Amino acid sequence: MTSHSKPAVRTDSVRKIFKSGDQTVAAVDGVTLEIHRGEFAAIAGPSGSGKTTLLNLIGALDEPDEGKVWIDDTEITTLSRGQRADLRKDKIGFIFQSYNLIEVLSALENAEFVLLLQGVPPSERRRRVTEMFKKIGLEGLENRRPHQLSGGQQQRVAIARAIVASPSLVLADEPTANLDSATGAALLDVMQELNQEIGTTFVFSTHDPRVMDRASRLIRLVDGKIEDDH
Amino acid sequence: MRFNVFRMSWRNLWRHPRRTFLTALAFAIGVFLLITSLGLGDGMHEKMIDTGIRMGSGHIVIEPEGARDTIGEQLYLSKENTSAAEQVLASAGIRGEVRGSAPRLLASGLLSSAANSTGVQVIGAIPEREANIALLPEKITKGTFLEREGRTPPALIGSGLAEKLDVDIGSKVVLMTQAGSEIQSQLLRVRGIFSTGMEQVDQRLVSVRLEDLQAVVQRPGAISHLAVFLNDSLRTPALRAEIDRELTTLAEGPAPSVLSWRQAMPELDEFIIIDDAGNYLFNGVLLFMVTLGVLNTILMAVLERKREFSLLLCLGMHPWQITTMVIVESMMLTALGAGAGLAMGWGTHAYFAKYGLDLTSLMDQSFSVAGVSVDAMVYSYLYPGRIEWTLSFVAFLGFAASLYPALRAARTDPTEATRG
Ligand SMILES: Nc1ncnc2c1ncn2[C@@H]1O[C@H](COP(=O)(O)OP(=O)(O)OP(=O)(O)O)[C@@H](O)[C@H]1O
Ligand SMILES: [Mg+2]
Repeated sequence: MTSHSKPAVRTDSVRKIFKSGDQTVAAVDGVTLEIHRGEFAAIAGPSGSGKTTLLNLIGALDEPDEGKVWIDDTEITTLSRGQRADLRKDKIGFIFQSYNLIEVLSALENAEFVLLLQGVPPSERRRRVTEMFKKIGLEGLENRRPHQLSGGQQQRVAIARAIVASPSLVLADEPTANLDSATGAALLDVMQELNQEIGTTFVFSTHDPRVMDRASRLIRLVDGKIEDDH
Repeated sequence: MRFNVFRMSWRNLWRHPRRTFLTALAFAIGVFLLITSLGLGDGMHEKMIDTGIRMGSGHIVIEPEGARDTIGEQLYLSKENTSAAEQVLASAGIRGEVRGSAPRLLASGLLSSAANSTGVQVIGAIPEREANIALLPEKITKGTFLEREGRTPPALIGSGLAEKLDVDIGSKVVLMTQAGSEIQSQLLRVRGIFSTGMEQVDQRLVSVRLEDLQAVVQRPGAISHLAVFLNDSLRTPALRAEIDRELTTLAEGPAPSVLSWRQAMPELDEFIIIDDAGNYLFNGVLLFMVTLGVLNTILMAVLERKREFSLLLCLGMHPWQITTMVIVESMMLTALGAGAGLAMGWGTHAYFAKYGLDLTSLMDQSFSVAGVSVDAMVYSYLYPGRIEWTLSFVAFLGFAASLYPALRAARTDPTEATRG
């Protein structure tokens, strides 16, 4: 695939420093990496190693103190808050550990949400979401509200929402952490399938060795630095 | 805006029905109190104005130039100017708006009976032209309104005056008044007694026929003013200007003054302005407090929803879309409250407009302001534009209360959603 040669994300010596009281922590400390289209990459590391902070930087949610981040060819550190929101809307899908969904919207409306923001017409939205629901086993749950769904179902809706908007990459911060292992494994199956079928780029973080084993690439973080990348 | 926030905002509103209900209720009560108090305030003012106008010199008074600046000396409208004024009132553009006009001659004098004597104000009037417009004929409790019987000129006197002079229907009284440099006296027969409830008026006012008073003061054809009554009091300023303009071209010599009731009764006008200002202040403070309460509620709700706004930002919602969403929610809340308040306020207004609010338990049978007495029954009345004004004001307050929370919501840190 030619797309492999073009990185979906690139970082150059990014650093993020948090100050709490008189202590400063370099949560991400000089990370340089490239993630290519179609990758299924895992970021692993102990608690506090900087996984979430790194994903936030890659996802244009946070600004680095030093270094640069590119998404496709856009350097995001120079963008305004509004421009970054636009970039997230068009290029990045997010899946969090929990509380991913908008309470007042149904499963279908949640999955449509990013398309709605993108200005996709209603019939097109509905078609794409219905198709995706079918693919990932959410058929029949369209009109349920988030609190009427199980944790695994909620995470699937979040995946559907991310994927239908055709992002350049999907960032998932410990997507299986709140799920039992069977449900977690099923969720990873879905992600992996989508990665292979549609070629969606996934970057996810995890503590779980069973999850790491699924990754096509494993980036190990320790104290905010890349210790190992293969 | 491509993103339609209305449905989401509406649902957000019902996530906490009790909070929404209570916040809307605050606005509802504010609007309800505002409309009710405006209705009663306007109703009271309108009644005062109406009483003032009908007891006094009409919506518009045409009088000799400078009549108000001369003390002690009576100025009269010349015959030419009187007929010019009548002509203007009968002209095509004005006639339709005038309910009636009454020429009057004013004098002061001493009224005596066999028992007593007292200082009085005398009004010479034409009964036919006073009927249905002036208040005095309606307040007659005994006898007739200056109907001629026999040769002695008839007089209509106040009930207080009748008591003081110890006279009744049919009694003879003598009016002494100045005619030029001489004192003239005239025998009158009491043919009617009125009671307005205003002590000042009931003890001091005497009404006689215009031609009789003209004869006494030896000024045939003279009048002090022409009182003009309109069909619609709100048209006063416009018609005053028009009458003034036309009269200026028709008049001979110095044109008569044409004054609106506001100019003719400045104390009443001032009272209403001050009373209105007091009402505005009270309502302003009330609504300000309601708004602060609502602001507090919205702000708390927004701070509670940090995670949700953060998620929306992560998904690519624009900060200004979040601002819009919060403002839309608040405006929906305001609309709900204002709608309920409008319904309650309008209902109360309609009730008091029909049945009136009896304030007798709070005050005397009638009370008097700026020389005008108002009886204690107040009928609600709303000046045009009051409702629109109230609703726009409350909409503005709802907007103002939501602005800061909405901007705060837009500033939510998008990484909030990624933690724990
Ligand atoms: N907003 C913040 N303020 C202060 N310190 C922070 C903040 N966010 C993260 N940190 C610190 O930065 C370091 C990295 O945190 P981060 O959340 O990125 O780690 P993580 O690898 O995601 O951990 P976990 O596996 O527990 O989720 C930690 O020491 C953490 O305490
Ligand atoms: Mg983390």
